[in-house]
Amino acid sequence: MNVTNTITRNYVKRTLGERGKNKANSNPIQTQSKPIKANKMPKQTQFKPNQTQFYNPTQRPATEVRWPISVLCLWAGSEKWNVSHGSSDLYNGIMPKSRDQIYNELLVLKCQQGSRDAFEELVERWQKRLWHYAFKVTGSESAAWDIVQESWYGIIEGIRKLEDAAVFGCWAFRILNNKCTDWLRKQHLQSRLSDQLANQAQNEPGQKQNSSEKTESLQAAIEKLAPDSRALLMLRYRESFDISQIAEILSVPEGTVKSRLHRTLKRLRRLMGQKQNG
Amino acid sequence: MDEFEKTIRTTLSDIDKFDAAKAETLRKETVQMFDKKLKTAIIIAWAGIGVAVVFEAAGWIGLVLSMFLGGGVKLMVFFGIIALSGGQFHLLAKLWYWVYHNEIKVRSEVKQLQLQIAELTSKEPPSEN
Repeated sequence: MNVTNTITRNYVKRTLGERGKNKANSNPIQTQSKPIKANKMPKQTQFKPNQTQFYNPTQRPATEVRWPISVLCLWAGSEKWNVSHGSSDLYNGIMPKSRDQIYNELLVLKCQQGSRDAFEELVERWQKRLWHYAFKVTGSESAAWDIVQESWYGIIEGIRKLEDAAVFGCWAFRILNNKCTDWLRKQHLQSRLSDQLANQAQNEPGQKQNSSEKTESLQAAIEKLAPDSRALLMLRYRESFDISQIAEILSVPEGTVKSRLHRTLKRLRRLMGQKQNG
Repeated sequence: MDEFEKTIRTTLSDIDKFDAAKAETLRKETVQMFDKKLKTAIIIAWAGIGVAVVFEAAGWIGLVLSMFLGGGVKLMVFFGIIALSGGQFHLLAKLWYWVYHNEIKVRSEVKQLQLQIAELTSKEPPSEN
């Protein structure tokens, strides 16, 4: 008689009910509704050995870098830096970041210190991206400007409380997305916007015509999509956020983002097919 | 990423309705907002510290006067509490400011180091020819 099997079966029966009656969880140990998966980590913290590293912890002993920073942390009175901190990845030797990304984080930190020039540069770097997103989601040029300005106001209000400068992009897009949603709700356009935009696209002959026919028809098809689908496409294909970051921005689970993206692409393909057939 | 997704990426990148003049105006306005917010924060901080110093000074003066002019124990305790609370608030405000700014300063220095290292590693080695 296999004792382990019997004990496990009894345990499952006792705690989760008989199989088939309560639809017991196959793994009773797993109690988390959303278990952490190593491959689902945000892109910024994933270790990619194939990339060029500027700091390799295996080549240099960690203590070389660790002790001066620890002294600085003690001096600054911040104990949390001694453990894994989002922005101290040089110290942790987690992964290399691009120069642009590091510079962006530096700008955010300088803004937190109250540097006007750093803030000006940050606005210059991010304004176009934010505006494009707002424009694509709302479909209105003037509304996009208003929304971007409101978002900047939100960013100014909260930037000092932002703990990790590395997540600035995600955070800014989240604020922007919330403002866009508010605007759409206010205008009661969410259901009618697709038709209006389609008409608007037909009535605007002066639009840019230098792209190929396929790109044009795709553009028209994208404009026929619902605002949330366009937002999803913008975040995924223009801003190149990964699924977990999009989920964070839109405040929905990762699975929802995946299914929405799948549905949107399917719809887009269908619209393109209709266009080509018509 | 398949061909269709690549086309979507290209299409979405190909938006040029962006009005640079309007962007410039908006940038200036945003920076002004930032300045205004910063000034407000500085004014509030200094006002808080000023009030704390005034309380502290008033408390100590009151305490000394009540000691030498015989104002009674209750008055002495009252002024003592005012002096201590003013002093503590003043101290805590300065400590918070010092910790916050030092933390950000160290983080900025780490970032600058990272940036320098990234710049060094991104430089191509000199060619032999």
